[in-house]
Amino acid sequence: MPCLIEHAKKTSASLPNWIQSEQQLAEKRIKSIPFPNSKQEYWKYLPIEKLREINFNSVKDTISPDLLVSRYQSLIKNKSHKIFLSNGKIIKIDESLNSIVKTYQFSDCDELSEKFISALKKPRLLDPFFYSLNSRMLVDGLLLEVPEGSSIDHPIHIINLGSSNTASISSPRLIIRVAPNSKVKLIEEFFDLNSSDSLTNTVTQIKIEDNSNVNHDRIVNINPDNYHFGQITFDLCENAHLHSNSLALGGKITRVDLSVDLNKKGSECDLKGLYLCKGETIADHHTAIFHNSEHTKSSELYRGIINDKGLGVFNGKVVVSESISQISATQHNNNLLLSELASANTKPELQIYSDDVRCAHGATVGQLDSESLFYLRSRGIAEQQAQMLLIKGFIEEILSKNYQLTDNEFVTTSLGIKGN
Amino acid sequence: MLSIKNLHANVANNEILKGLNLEINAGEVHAIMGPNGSGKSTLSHIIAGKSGYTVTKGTANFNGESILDLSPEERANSGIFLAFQYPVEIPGVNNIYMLREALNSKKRSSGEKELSAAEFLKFVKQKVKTLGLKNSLLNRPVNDGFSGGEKKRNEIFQMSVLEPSLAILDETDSGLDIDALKIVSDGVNLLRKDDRAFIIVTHYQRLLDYIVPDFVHVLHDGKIVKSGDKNLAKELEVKGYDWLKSERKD
Repeated sequence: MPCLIEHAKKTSASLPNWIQSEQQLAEKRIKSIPFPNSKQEYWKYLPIEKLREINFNSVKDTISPDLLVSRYQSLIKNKSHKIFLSNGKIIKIDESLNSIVKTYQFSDCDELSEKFISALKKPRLLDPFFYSLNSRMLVDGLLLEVPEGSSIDHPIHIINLGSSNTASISSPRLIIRVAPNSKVKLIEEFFDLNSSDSLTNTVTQIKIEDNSNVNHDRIVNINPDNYHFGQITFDLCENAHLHSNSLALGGKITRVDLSVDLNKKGSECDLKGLYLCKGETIADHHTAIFHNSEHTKSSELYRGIINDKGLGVFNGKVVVSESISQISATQHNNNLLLSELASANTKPELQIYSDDVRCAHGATVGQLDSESLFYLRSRGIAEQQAQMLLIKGFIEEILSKNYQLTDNEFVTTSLGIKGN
Repeated sequence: MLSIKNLHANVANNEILKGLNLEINAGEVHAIMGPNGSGKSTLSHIIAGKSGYTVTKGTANFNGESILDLSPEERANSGIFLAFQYPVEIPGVNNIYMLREALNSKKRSSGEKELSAAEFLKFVKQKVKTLGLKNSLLNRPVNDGFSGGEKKRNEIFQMSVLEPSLAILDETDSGLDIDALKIVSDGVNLLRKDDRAFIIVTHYQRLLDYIVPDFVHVLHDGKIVKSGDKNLAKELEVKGYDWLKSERKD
């Protein structure tokens, strides 16, 4: 019996009934689903079997919350309203948030309001195994509600601090409801304090109601020895707009499953992503966009830079069923390999059964262009700096309008290259 | 300034330059003409230090020093500039950002003080004005989405910022309409100075109506087969290149 599953059974928490019934359901599911393996199409390219061997422990952090928080280093330069979480539990929250949004811990909610139930019950199960594992192993979670008609200046910044225990597994869960006619910027960040072979298996469910506009930045900034499995689902109502940016830095395996349901007329999403790999790190994004209604629009651009023996994986699914008309969908994925042993696998998966669709897609895997390098060097720019300029140029389109990052130092650090 | 002697060079084991000699002094404008495949672009690339060429024999000295073992950036920083026949598009990198890197690299290599962002902006705006270009050129990504004429103007603009002592224009006239040709030529003429030399590589004599050369050389089969003044270009325009080929066989 794999350790991971064995472990799932042992976990228990004194949580309200609604979440306990979720957990029981999850336990049943785990029993009926085989452990994922890389022979399955959905897990291809990922040495997922590795995880089976690891004897994960539950989190028993003895470090004080203040010390945990003090060790966090932000990539974001802008002012934000911060919430610090450790394994689903709030350890610090900015007071400024109280007047802006409502936050609840799962453990404090004896009952879940109808609105949240709909966010919880309608997850697009991209991967039932890790989703169920998260439910089963919940210690606590966060509910966040953005009230109707909100317009929030500074981002709401949710920082999940990984455990410092060796080989521990944490299961953060976040449910967000953005009520109608609101505008909000959310940053969800996963930050590890040290190298501990730990696994963070996280689920986030976000419901965006009518006429609301959400910018969601997701940042995985973890140590190359740790694992991150993240599932995130967006549920969009009428005229709801989503800008999603996913940044993956580090991680022995960072796997992000992101899905968007465009449920009603006028709902739109723009997905952007960037993954940087060095050493033997792996970044795997599986995205899925479901056009469930006519007059919906999606665009997607993911880029990856892979150095050393790293591996980048991108799988982008777009689904338009037969009866749905007036759809626009674009998808692009570009990969830049910086070393001979670096690799990238990219797969567009367009399931379009309707005729009334405007769709464009493209995928590339390549190296730095030697003509461009010569051009810059012929202007007097040293080779290393010329490479850095081209790398910056490659990611500019993704970074410029989205993240509000302190500087580009994380690029050189994440790729293990020199430059400025 | 530039002294090339008996230069032989290969591309993938094909000999392209077969004993080329060229002497260029400060302040001179040399036109290099010749039919397709004669080695014109190879010569430009070898002077600028592009990889993929093997020099098998001969020397190329710039201000008395051999340049053949120098990297492209070392050559650029010593004062050589190549205006590309096909300027490369680099999306995501601003023109002004790239140029500041370039100019400061040059300043670093010669031990001069680097320019701050503000100083540099002032400096380039003056250049833009002198050449009659638009300020918007500065903040656009390098050549990205530029028309053929805009790309060539950008090359001349970069040249004006980097102030080389030897500028090589590799078929700058290719793909230009007559108006763009005039603008580019005016730019080059503005940059003509006593201490700056030009090599104008071109197919046609048309460009030389606007940029009047001191010397015209005809490159054929990897060698300079005839040299003269600006009238040689006119002669070529009338007679074509064939008479030179047959003359050589005789």
